[in-house]
Amino acid sequence: MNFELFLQLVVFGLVEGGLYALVASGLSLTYGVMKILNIAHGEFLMVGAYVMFWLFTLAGVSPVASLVVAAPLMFMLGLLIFKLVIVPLERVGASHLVERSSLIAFFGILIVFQNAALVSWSADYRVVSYLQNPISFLFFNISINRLVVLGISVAIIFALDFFLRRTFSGKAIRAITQDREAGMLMTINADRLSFVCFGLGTCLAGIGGSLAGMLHVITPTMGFPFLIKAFVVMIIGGLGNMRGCLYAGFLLGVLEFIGAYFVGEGYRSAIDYFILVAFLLLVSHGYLGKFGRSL
Amino acid sequence: MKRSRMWKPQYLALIILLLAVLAFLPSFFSAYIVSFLIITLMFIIMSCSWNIFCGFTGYISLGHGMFFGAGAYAFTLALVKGGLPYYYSIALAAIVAGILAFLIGLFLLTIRIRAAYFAMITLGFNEIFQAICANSAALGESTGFTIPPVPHLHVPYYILLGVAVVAVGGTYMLDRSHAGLALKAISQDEEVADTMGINVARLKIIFFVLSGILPGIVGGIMAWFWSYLDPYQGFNLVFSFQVVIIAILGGMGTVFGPVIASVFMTLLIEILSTNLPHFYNIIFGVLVTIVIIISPRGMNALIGKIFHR
Amino acid sequence: MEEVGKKTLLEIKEVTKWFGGVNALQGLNLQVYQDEIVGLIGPNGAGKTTLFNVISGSFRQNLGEISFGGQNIDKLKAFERCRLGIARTFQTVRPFLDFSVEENLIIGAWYGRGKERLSGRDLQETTEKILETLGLQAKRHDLAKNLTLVERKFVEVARALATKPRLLLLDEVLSGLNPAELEKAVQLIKNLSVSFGVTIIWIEHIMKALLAVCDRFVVLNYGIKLTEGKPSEVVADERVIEAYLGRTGKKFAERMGQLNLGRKE
Repeated sequence: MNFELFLQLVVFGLVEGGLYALVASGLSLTYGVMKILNIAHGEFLMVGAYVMFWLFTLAGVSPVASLVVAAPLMFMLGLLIFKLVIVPLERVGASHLVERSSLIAFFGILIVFQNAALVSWSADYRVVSYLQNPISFLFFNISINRLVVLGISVAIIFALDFFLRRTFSGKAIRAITQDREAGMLMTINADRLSFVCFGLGTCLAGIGGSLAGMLHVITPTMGFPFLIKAFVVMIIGGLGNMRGCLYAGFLLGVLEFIGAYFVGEGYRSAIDYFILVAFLLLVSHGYLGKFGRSL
Repeated sequence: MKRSRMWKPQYLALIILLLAVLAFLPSFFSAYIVSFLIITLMFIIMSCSWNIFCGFTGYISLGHGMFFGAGAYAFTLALVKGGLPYYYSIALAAIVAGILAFLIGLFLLTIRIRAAYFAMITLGFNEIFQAICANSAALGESTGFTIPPVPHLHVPYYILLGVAVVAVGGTYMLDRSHAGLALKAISQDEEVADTMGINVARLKIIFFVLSGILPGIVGGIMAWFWSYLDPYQGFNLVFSFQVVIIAILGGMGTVFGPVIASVFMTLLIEILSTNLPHFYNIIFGVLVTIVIIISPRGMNALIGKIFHR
Repeated sequence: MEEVGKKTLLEIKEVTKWFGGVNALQGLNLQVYQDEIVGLIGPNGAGKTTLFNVISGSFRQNLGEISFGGQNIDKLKAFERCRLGIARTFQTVRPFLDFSVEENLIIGAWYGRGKERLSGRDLQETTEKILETLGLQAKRHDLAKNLTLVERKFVEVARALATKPRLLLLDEVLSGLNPAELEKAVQLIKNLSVSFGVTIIWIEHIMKALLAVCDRFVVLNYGIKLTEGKPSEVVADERVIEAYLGRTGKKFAERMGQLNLGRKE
């Protein structure tokens, strides 16, 4: 492959990677604070994509503008799910039991969301054509919508990073992520933070979905691959580490594109998992020491 | 040894009667019913196998279908490409699935891993294998394989019936054995189990392998029954999820729970699938969520409360 | 401090354990002799539970060696050490909650004894004996999660005993007990070493109890062994008091006349 092709793959990889990082940031925030993995995260993304789609198709609202609606909507949906599902589960006490049963509960939610979408909106592919006119960039053309997605993803992540590092609430979140008990002793209301962070997580997933809908086909099962990517990025980037997410996202995106070029598009998810497995192998055997903390 | 609350002679007689009925059934009933039973038996074996490891230890494997698929492919390749007779092919399916389970168990179960990560990674393996099969010419790519049909519907039926008896019987024996107690100890507090003399790693791997072998056999038989195999059928994600749903709703760590839930699930799918294809899944999803909220310790705790343990 | 004729059961040589930037144990040297009851004391965070974790095999030490019964056990995993004869209880009280008392014991008796695993009649008898000693017979079928805190602590001890330990590590079993329960528990622990032939290392904060039962005290502070010796002497040792109360605390206590420090006549 020549340099131009390589560069093109890298740029496309960065665009996708930024999106992955955005989705991962939500997952990372939630998992870091609550230590519960929301495996239905991808479904919130999917719902966000459909919200954007329907607003665009029925009301002609531009995908970027629709974020104003999608974001708070997904935030509140997240809060609702938290109140209905997480709160009763936390009753149990034993943390590994809570982790296990919440895993199952989110699994149930995943099934419900996906199939509800299949029933309501059918499995037909939906596409949003918006800002697809290409502009020339270095040696190749890239459509504007990709740049918009990249721009928004990166902007949000930097905003999150700033929030986490410079504001009091953000620091509280980081404290809880590192040591929940110690944080609670410092009078941080860990439960309320979990509540808000969960909503924030689903909100970010929804935003990611709206953006993803600009670049990808919208289907009820679209969420799942994103969950996988978000998971991988979260692990590699580090829990609650926004910049880490961004870099890990970029890394994953680029590796995916380059890998897909060599082994084929169908191997996308396989590449994600392969990277994850390789990463885990290295960490569990003592290499990449500081990354192992999130495990 | 202990906890013999329900296994009185009456129940045993009932079970033997049921088995007798099932054994003679194909001679009297239509192919449609037999096929339906084959599907039911498939779910019974899959969910019991999942239960043997995941139900007892609490490690949620979301990609258990990978053993089904591995067995299906091993069987198909042996039969179609290798020309081996079906009984060798089935044996090969079991062996391949077992080896796969062993390797994955070695990788995932000998390190300190969080429940969530185990769930995601088992899911991942399923996806990886699907992708490999879909993109490899030797493994049939997306088009898959056509398989010579079964000589008679009775063959897969009786084989599956036998495997189901093994699966359920095995779970029953496990539940009453020390190993079963040890697995449950692991699910409650793995670190303490370790300090109390339980060789946690070895036990986990042994039962993970056992929980993978039976799905391998089922995979082979079902590919044969369907006369067809492709990566999406062999490594179907929805199927993996359905198995988990059945086992959870039936009761993790119980013996007959998954069996009953399998029957219900298959009936429900049969009744609803023509009219409302995805609707039944929504119901299951809601049920799973509600069940786990009401009884986070699992169905057996719920049942325990009901029967005044 | 070797007494003539006493066999060394556990030997800890220059054991060091760190977590990230924190040194939990530093160059610790300790010997525990057969049949003695050692009180392991020291302020919170001194590394006592870490020491237990390292002995039982939950953690591996970074430096140093541990020998049990004359053989080096560094390469042995936690379950192997249990089968060899090291059993412990946990500060946070962790019996198997979904199991009955009896089931907790069965786990210990079946898996914790290695080659000498019990079944049938032997299992029955041993279980009976342990339940009786700890006063848990009436509760044998009750689920651990339904028991009171005290009962759960006893279940932990019972479970540890079921593994036929040569060395029993008790981690703060007395916290949260009322005076009557305390009395009972202290008597119990005194009996354990006799009726079950175990050597005991006991982490505890309630001095009265330790003084009544222990043959020897070992004091840890900041991961180092501060001192060891006869309980009555150790308790009066200035450095020990300072470790617990701090320098100002010690001065304060002196001035209040509460302590008569080392004014040996």
